[in-house]
Amino acid sequence: MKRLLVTTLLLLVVLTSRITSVDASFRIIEDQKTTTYYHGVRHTEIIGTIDYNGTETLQKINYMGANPTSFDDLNLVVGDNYLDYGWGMGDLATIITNVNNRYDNYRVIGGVNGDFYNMSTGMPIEAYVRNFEVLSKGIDVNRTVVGFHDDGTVVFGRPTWSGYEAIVFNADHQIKHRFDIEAINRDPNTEGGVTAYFHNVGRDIATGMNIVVLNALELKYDEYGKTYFGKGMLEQNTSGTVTLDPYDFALVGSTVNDDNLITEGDTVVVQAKMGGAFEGVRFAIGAWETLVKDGIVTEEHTYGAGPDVRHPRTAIGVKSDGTVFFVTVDGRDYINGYRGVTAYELSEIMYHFGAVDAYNLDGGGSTTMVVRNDTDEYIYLNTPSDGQPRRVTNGLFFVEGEHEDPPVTLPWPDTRVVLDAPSGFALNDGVLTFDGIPHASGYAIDIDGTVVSTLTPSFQLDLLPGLHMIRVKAKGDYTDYQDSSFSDVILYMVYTDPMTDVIDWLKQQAERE
Amino acid sequence: MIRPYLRPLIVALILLLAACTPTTDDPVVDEGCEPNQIEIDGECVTLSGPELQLRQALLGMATKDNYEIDVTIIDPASTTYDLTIAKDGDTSMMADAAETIYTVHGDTCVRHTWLVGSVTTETIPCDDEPPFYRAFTYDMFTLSSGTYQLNETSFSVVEDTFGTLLPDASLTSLSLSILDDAIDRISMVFERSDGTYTMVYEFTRYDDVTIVIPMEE
Repeated sequence: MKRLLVTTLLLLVVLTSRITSVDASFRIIEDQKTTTYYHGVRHTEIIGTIDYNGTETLQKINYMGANPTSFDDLNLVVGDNYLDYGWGMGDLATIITNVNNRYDNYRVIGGVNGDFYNMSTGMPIEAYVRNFEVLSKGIDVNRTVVGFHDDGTVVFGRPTWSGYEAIVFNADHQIKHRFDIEAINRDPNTEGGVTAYFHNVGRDIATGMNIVVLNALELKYDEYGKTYFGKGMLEQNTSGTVTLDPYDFALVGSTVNDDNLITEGDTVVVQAKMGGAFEGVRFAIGAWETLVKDGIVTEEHTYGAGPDVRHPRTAIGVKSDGTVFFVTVDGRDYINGYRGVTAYELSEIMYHFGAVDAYNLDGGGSTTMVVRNDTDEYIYLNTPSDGQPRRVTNGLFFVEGEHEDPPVTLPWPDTRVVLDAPSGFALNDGVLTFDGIPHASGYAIDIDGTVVSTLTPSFQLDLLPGLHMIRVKAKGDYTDYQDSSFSDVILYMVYTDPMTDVIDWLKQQAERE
Repeated sequence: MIRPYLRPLIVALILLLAACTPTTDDPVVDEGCEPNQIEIDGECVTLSGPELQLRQALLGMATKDNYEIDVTIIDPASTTYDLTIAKDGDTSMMADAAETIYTVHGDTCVRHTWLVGSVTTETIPCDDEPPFYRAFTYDMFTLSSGTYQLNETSFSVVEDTFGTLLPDASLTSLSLSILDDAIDRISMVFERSDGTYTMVYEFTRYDDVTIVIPMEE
């Protein structure tokens, strides 16, 4: 009896210890492994067998990683194919083209698909921040958000949301002022409060208060009113009844814009106010299941996209040294035998590659990884399970190029002295000179619509033959002096070398008249 | 009542004045030769009608001090450049799309370069050379299809003038048309290793030009 009891107890210990073991056994048996560096980003493809707790499956795994904390000109951005008024979808190649077109300072090296999304509208499920603009705060599903700071560090978790704010930018994209928005689609209840109205309010604004109607450059909101984003320019100040058209939004308040804060040429952004560890992130995207947290593999996946089911999957991880990496695992490929992985297996894969934190991104047919090769072509590194790249909501990308400086915040009210516009121009041998302006911190030179900066009142023009239009303004500082207005246009004709001889000859002939 | 001896005196005076006052319609003629002749080495040489007209125009041009020249240049890429040269007495001007240069001739010569809102003024050496077309003489040209073509034998006379216009270029043709007692148009074609350059001088607004040098704003 006693022996039976002891044996039974021992058996129970063995069985329960196996069920509650914190050390699932995992290994990757590599049949083929290829590592290539593309523009400083490492890509490794592994074809082999993963053994998870004795279950062996053939897999094709793609890894792409780099350390953005080590290089100013290697960064992480998000990208999309959204419409100006609404959402949208695009395959990764289309999204990459959009990123390259949107930013002069970035060029995509490679990346992966991003968040889960509404497959009818393309709206991402979680938050999405693009170059400091909070296009969405998500639809209240409380999933993980991944944020990217300018120093290359990554933050995972839940942002702190504290309502909405309005940010007013001047024509130079400097912040004139920012203020809280009390609520959306109703009148303010507080003294001096300001609210924002969007077209989905479904009625006229008849408030008797000041109404600042803004013609939207971009609008993003969902049908349920969970999240709003508007970017626009002044259309009218009024206090009458306003019927918003679908491409307008408005600010309402008893004193809003009495101080003439918002003027022609300014851009106003209304967006969710994001804080906590995410305050100041330039880019952010939604993710889901936690795969690795603080160096520990997730044992139990209680939520997520079918955690026990084999799918093609995409994930993002961060190593202890700051290296960020993406992983895709092919699946649903019954010809080659790549069946995909569970969330448990994916967690182990991310830990295997060195993640201290790792999260699942959208998978299934959305799983795609693209890189720009040595001949500057964008190529798909994995095999999307739909048979072709799926149109997804957004993506994450390594880019070459430095971040632009964040927008500067100016004082409001702006009592800085306005500098005089430059004058006294002369052009000699392609060098533009002008009279210096006292207190100017530098000068902005607009050449055919492109603005360059100089610290001194002299600039070497290196222009192609043709007629060029040049304007100059003195730049102030952010405390005492405002930029001047631009000077009158200076026309500068650049001739080809032979024509320069002709013109010089004609000048001589004219002087002989 | 006019005294009898006064009438013949008045008639003689009128005849004398008529003889001494040239009209604008009278051709400039060399003394002792016919109106269609010029004196060369003491001999009266008869000019053809076209030769005479050209001579009259070139001589008349020498008296002009108020006109505008619209200059058009076409380069081998078929790009067109337009400039304006003008003369108003002692002041001349050249303007392209971007700047205007005024030159005032006097005991000293002054150049004003105008560039939106700003003017640079400098004293420069006076260039006493005349513009290139004032060196033309009637015998350098032959009338052909209504315009006067510079004879090839006269190319060398003008090529020095064009020396710095397009280095390493060769003048291939120069044609001139006249209107009354002035030049109307000069067309020049140059060949260079990179292709053909065309330059046209169109003379306009005779005695209708007023050049005002702008004051700095």
